[in-house]
Amino acid sequence: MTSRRTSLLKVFVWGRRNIPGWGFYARGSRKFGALLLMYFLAFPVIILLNLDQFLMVIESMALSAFLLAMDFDHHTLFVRGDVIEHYLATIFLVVMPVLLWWLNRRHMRTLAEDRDIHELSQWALAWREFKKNNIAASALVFIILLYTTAFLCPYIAPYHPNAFQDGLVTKFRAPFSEVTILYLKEPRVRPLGTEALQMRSEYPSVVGDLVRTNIALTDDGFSKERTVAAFRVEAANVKATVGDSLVSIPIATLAGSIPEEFSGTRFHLMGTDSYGRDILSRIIYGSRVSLSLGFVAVLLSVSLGTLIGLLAGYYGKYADSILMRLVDILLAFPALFLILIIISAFESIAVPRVVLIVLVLGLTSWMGISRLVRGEVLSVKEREFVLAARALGIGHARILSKHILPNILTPIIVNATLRIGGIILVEAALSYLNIGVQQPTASWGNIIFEGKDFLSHAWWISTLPGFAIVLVVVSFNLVGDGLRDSFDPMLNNERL
Amino acid sequence: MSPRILFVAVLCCGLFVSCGKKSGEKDPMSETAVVALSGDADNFNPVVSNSSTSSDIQGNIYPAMFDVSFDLREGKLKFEPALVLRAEFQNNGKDVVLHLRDDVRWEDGMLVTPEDIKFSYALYGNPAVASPRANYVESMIKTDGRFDVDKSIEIIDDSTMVFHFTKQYPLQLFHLNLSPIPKHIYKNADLASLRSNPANERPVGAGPFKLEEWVRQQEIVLARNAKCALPYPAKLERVVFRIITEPTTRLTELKKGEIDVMRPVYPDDVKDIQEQNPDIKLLTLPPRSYEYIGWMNIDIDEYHSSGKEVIKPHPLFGDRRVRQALTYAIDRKNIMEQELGSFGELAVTDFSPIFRWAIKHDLIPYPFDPEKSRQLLRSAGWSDSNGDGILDKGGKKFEFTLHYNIGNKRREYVATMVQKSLKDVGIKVNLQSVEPVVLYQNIEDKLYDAFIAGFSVGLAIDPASRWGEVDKPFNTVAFQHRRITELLKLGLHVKREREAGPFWKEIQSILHQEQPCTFMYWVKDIVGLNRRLKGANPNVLGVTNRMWDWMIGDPNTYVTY
Amino acid sequence: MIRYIIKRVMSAIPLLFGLLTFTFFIIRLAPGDPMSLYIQADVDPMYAENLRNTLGLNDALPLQYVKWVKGMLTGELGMSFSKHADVSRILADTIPNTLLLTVFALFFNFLIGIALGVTTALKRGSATDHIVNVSSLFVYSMPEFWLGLMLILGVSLQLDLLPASGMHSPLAKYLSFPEYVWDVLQHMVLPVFVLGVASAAATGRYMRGSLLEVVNQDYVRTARAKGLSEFLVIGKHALRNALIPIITLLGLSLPFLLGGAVIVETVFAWPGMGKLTVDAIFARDYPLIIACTLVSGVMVIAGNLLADILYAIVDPRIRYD
Repeated sequence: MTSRRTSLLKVFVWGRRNIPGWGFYARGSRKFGALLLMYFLAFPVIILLNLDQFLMVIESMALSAFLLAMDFDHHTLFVRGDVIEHYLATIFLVVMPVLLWWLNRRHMRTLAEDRDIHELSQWALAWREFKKNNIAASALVFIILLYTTAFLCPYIAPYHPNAFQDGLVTKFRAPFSEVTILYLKEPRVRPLGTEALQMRSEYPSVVGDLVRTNIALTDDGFSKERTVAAFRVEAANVKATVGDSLVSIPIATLAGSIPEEFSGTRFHLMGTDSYGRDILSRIIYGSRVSLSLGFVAVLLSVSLGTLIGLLAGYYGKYADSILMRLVDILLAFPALFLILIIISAFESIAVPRVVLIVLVLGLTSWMGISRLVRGEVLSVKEREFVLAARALGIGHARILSKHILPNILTPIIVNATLRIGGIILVEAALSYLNIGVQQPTASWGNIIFEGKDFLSHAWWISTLPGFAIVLVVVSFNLVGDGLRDSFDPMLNNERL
Repeated sequence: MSPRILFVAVLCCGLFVSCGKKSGEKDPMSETAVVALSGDADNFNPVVSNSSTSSDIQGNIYPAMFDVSFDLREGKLKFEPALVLRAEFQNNGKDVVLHLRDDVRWEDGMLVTPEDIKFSYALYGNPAVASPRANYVESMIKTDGRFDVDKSIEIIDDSTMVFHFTKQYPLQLFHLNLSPIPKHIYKNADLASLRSNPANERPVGAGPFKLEEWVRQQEIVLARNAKCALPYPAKLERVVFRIITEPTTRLTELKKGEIDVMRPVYPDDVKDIQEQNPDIKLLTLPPRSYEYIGWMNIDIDEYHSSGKEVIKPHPLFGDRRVRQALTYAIDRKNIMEQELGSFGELAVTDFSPIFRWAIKHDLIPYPFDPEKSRQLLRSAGWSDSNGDGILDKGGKKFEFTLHYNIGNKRREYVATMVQKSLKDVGIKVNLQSVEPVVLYQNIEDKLYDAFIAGFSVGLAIDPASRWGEVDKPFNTVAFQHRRITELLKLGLHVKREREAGPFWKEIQSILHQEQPCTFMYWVKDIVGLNRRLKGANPNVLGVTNRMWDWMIGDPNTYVTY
Repeated sequence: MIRYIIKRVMSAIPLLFGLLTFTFFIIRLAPGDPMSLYIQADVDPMYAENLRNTLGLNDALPLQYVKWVKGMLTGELGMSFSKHADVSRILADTIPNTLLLTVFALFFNFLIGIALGVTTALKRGSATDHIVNVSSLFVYSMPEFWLGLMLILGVSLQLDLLPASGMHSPLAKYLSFPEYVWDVLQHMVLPVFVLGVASAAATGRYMRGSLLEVVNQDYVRTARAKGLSEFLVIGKHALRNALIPIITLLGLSLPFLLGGAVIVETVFAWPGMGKLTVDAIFARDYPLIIACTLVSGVMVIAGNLLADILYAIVDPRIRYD
């Protein structure tokens, strides 16, 4: 009895230390612990649900790593962007839980070693405040989930975002609709030249395996399927309706002999767009573009804005007046015009449109931040610790990075969070003006734009990604507000 | 400086700017038709205006030389009297004598005289003006390579004038149909700044309508010209053109009955309109524009680096088999049905089906046949020797970038489909959307290997600009064929349009065989008309053609259009 | 005060000039030939070349710049390449409309924003507070064109309550003046709402915070202690001081509204200069782009100046010398 109890206890102790969330839950952070635990467990669940795909990616990664080491010349031929996308998702899928485990363990250790820490850092205090704010905390959870989805989109999206077979059959399907498909015996298109490649390589079987796995991974789902509006069996043929015409398909070419065997359906939870592509998948893949665009552009603008604000505020005099004049000029210009002009000017440069948009959005939105930072620097630089550092003869760069920057970080972080939402909205506006992210890559803005002309008879195309944008922007704003409140306990007390 | 004062001030300034005189008549809308346009006019001087909106409206403001219509049954233009009562051909057809009406007056009361016409033609052909319609005087008499108005146009008396051409050709009357503008208004105008001449915004015409008001970006109001002496006075009191860019907004206004005429209606909206508003009649216009995928026929690097001297076949598309293979690989019918529903027609060549007499009917469009396509590519020497799924030949991959214009959803779909279909035969296509102003310039300068574009054909057959010399801007794919060059010469020098038929048919056979580009389909524009508008007859010449016949009637009496 | 205004206006001139110079050069970097919209491609190239020479497009860039500066100084805005008319006349047609739209949106923004802010601040913690806060957050987070299209389809097409587009009904000039005003007002409701609602939500949130801060200050407590009615306390003492930070928003929201006007004008077919600017950029219509930049720059700078002046009126502590 006691031994069983001790072993059970051991399991508990082990679990608290090693399973992220459990420890927090046991120590009283019920909500946080449960959420963390669920988040942690989601990763193995996703792996289990997509085991085939997961193993295939692992195989592909192993094979190409082998070839990379042995046969450097050829691997670039078949490891392309769409395969790497799977690699990244899989790496994330493996690394993230490990990272969580490690962080959790470290945290639990520090807690165990040093039980009574009274002096909490400013960050820990803010975090404690933040957790109390239920709305902001849920918004943060939502954002984390979205970013996770964005990383894992090859595992989560039901279909390939750009895949459609026959627009005549599948376009403008309403949400919750099903499309009939026929399973074919043979792939519609036989991939070219695998044999040739194998012959040229020193490791023909490895190459063959790799090519086959990669083809299976990047398959858009239609290689052995055919979408039809409806069909009926007539003797040895299937008569299928496609658009206005009736197509005859011999049953011999199908994967089975009775309709139950050779036919099935594709389910579109959010319907399809004017091409016949699955909107849910496009929204999931689009989140990757929209969210990372928001994040990177803000990172860019905040870094630039902080740098300029620091320089202007710290050095003052000419630097200040020149830089702030520049800020005034750029602020006196509706940002949208500026962005349009710059994108037109640099469009011919050979970078993908997404990169151009990120750069332009990042480089045209730093002015607000730099004003803010300059103001903060002006007040901080006269404080005792800075004056003392200066008197000690510490270099400017060091003063700026070690003494000033950490003290003005709070408003910068709050501002950055509030900005991400704004950037996502600007991306949508750019799509409306025709210079958004280029098709077929999905972004929320261009899905809305793609569907806007069909709003009156296919409302779902534009409406659903619109909701996605609203939800995300709201969440970022809530988190930003929450951060501000938690960094600024004064305001908080006053609220109570 | 209280906010209230500012508020009132701005309100007043905004309101008064756009309101003029008022009067208490009966509801003017019962005598007014409303047309929705997607773009504003630039100005109303036919010599320099360049927007399609302007040319649609000018036709109803200025006196026309001829009342032009297009006979669909015969497939040719018809010229009926307007300002010109009668035209006679003399001197082997090189001289055209025009007998003019002498009772037509400009709105300000001055007579329309041959002087006005000659003055206008002088402007059309003057390089300092740089009229977009300067090509109309191309075949009149030139001195030192420049249009010589005194030698080309001779005034006999107040109602007779002679135009001298260098040759007889089928388009002569068409080229005589440029709208005249009043000389007494423009005679002192500075030619270099003719485009910004204030008179362009207050046109003085003599046609069935006159411009009553033009508010930029908003509306153009035409009113009946009661003094019009041409044989077709306007029946309607007013026509209002409203500029609405956003398609969803335009469609909403059509469904609500706020506008009477809308073009184009998208094929996807047809069912929806029919269900929601039975008062809207949808008409299809005969096809005048087609879409194509251009494959550059010559090696553009060599061409440009040699100063447009060296003409070598394009490394990818220079081979006829490759171009045929590309057409075979693309399911044009499926793309067309998906994009246009039943409002399209597969294109065999660029000869519009409206010219029935010139069409070689026994050419069968290339079917969708990927297997055949692969075969042709193999026979042209393309195979996937390194196994990356992309064809190659002599170490060069079959990969190219397909350019199309930004924001055009139809082209975007075509581009995506082409990318997808060509992947199946082992060709890698990269897509690049480009702003229209850049795209068209680069296409005409021959800077792209592959692109999607459209082309609107004129009202008379003129294949020379499309398939003539390589450096012509409209020969966008730089295609040249010895036999076609011969045929063009033969076809353009016939006296009557019809005589060119056999030559045009042979050109079509060659084009079909050579596939200089992949001809996709002809687009039949759909026009939405409210049933209260009677007498409207949208046709090949446009929606506002013969606008003078329009009337407003009871929507419940159904008149067949 | 007057001195201060003059000084501000003077200092705004180099600012504007810098802005215009920046635009001048950057737009000329863009690929694309403005002439390609001028002349049909099959017309003899000699004509286009001629035109390019006349318009000075063949000059070296520095020379073009010098010419442009000269034109600017003499008030010459040039001729629009795409609209084939004097830029000044085009702008004269469109600026009042954009001004009308923006100014109404600005008032909508502040009236509604302040009203919401005061309501939520006074009823802090109540259901109203939460509902308003959450819904304003949602409105604030919508793409403008999306909201506009949704409203057109819902309010205008389905419910048929308001006109969907344009600034007035066709032939509205034949209406009597009150009818005309009524007509224009009806047409303005949707665009003004879409343009102003996001900033109104933002203003509301600022106002709430600002008022909450003020309410706890000593002078407000004193006023309360004096036994003044709550209405007077809030209306006379608290509100006035809470409004001061809001005035700064006035200057800041103008560029935002002008940018939004581009979208709103396109969606609602409003004949303003926002849409014109976008078209000009795509058509490489250099003179029109520069002119639109000038106008929006002037509007923004004027807005900031106005905000500063209002500041002085509301807050007598501030002195300008």
